[in-house]
Amino acid sequence: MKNIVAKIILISILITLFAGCIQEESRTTQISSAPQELRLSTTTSTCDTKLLDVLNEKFEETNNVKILTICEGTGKAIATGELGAADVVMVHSIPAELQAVANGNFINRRYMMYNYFVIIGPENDPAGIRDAGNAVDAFTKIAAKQSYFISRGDDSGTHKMEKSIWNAADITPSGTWYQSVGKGMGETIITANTQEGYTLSDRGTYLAMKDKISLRILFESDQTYLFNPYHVMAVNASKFPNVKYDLAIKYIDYVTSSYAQDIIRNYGKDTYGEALFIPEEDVLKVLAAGSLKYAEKDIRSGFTVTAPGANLQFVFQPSGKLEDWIYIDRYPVDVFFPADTNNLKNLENYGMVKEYHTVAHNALVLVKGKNNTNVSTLEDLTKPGVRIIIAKTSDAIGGYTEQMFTNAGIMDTIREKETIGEVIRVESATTIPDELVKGTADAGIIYQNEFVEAQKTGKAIEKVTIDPEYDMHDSINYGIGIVDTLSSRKSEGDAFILFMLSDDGQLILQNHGFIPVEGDGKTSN
Amino acid sequence: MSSLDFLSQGIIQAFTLIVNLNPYILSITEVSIKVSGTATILATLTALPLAFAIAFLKFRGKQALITLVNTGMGLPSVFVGLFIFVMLVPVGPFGFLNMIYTKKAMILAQYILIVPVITGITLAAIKAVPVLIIETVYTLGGTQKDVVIATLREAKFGIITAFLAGLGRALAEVGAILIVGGNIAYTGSIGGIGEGLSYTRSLTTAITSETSKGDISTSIALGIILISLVLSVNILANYFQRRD
Repeated sequence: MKNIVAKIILISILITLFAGCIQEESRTTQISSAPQELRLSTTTSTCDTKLLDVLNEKFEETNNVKILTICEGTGKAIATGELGAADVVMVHSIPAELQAVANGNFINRRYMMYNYFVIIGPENDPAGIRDAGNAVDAFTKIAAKQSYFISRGDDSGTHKMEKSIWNAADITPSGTWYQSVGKGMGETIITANTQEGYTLSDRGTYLAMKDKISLRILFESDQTYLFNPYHVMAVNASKFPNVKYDLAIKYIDYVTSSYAQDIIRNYGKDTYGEALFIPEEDVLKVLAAGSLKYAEKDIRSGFTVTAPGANLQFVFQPSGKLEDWIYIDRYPVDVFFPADTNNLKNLENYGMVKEYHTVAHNALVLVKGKNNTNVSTLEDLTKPGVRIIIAKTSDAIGGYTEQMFTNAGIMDTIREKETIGEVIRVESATTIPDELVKGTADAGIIYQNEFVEAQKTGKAIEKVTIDPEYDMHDSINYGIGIVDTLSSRKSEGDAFILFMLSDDGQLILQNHGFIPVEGDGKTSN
Repeated sequence: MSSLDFLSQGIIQAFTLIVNLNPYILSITEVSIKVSGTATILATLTALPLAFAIAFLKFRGKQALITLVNTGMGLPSVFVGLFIFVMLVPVGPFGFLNMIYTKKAMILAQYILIVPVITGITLAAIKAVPVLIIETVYTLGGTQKDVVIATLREAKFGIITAFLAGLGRALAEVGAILIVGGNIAYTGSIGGIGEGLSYTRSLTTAITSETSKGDISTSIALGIILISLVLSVNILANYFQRRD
């Protein structure tokens, strides 16, 4: 009796599980005309605005694909990709995306579209944020008044943006006025509406819900803190062999194609009188070396004078990384502005760049903490007991530093010092000024422009004069050029390059510690 | 608008959707019935023998099994959802099955949730069979097998009640199937009611997402259907309980 019953129980459980497996088999032996499935995991704003309902249609038709869209916050969407449960991911949080790519979980990350976040709240604006100077100021006012603020609280792109603003304001929001709901954008807006409180929303979702709520946009035009760019990226097939990698790439190519970009450009105009998102095609995209980021504001205001309508967006990353993005990922770009003309030369060899120019030089400077007394020349670095801090050769400046030491004939001594621990190597030279102030080392080598920035912020370091013969200014060549195969705004890109090479552009670079070029700097035919 | 206007507008729009047999709404209903129905049938196939084994057989670990069934009845659905999710994601132990974000995963989650429910109620139904009947069977020279058959006959309405209780629980479930199913709709209805049909969107998960977008009339339509289904199941269950 026991045996029979036990067998029945076992069989019924097996039937349940087998039912799954067998149906799975039949799924895979389906005739080839049945549509393939592509799993897209994305944030709630792309779903709630119904953009994807319009955007995905053509792709499905053309490729005989059914897209299964999973709508969750950015954090969850990226996690879903990292678990292999999605093929392609569409999100809006650059730090999280870059981290995920660095972890090797995603490849082929491409820029797709953007809009701006808005701070919405009750019409009567109790915290008075309409008069705020920027988003950080607006948040500070809300916290000061302790007006209701509803937070997504779900690690979404919007939530991460909100956190970065509180961070910049140096406020840790807590108290009954700050409510974290852990929900999607639509629901968060409804909660804020019910509570008559403030919340941060992407423009698209707000517009799509405007008629259902009484909240209004009270603050919007902050390009730094409210910029909301969306990217797409494919799950790495070498980590998850079962993901539909080719299809994911096709989808990514599709959403960045002119056809799809045009749908994005117009989506919402009929219903809301304005587009909900702006396609990346409409942006003049400059991929620039990280060291140029300090000059962004001045370059932007300078260029706007010559080209008033320009929609200029920079991406600042190490030049080598940018070259990879352009060559391997075909990242949408108009102008490439790296810290080494060789990055452009490589792209020229690949046929992606036709012409490029040297636009500026940088130089190396020897710096020390203000209180230091044992370093007054380059040769002093060889003195026993002097601790040196320089970059690893994985950072371009590390290589330049070693070249400088070789030229000055002190490289061998420095190598010996390294074996006895008197040389500290860092991942990025940008950390060197702070280390010198802390006293971790006596002296270090940094870029001239970094020194100029350090002086502007009043860091307690000073420059040690060295023979200009050794400062590498002829070897560190910043380049600029249009990426012909990827750019859709060539004439605007040309105007930008002309500006950077003009007296005005060169002056901006000089003010930020770079060395202007002589002549027109044209390096290739 | 007043709250009365708001509600009445929502209800009118909801009825319009239902009467017009809106395809999106119908497909969502279909997902609910398919998933919960399949899960309940499979769960009953497991629960019935399990209940009879507990009632009639002696074996080691019986007490542990009973405790397991009792604990199972109180399992939080989101916990089961999380557990299945972790098991089924491609990096998980059963990732090779490719089952995440499918209706099959939803059926599995609901199966796990309601097996204890059906087992428990069946057990109660078995225990409710009058001892007199059992004794009569033995007196007439019957074996344990005959007693089981007689119990089955006597308890049949109780068993049907158990099945319906499981079905009701499954239809109302939302947490687990939201996690393992992903609440997916085909293009056209990704952001709510539209041309696309449901893939893993059930009545309960759709109400969650439609409400969060502020689409109250769609939510009300779905809610009316859901409550009608659950009510019918309960009325049926009540009928069979009284026949007992």
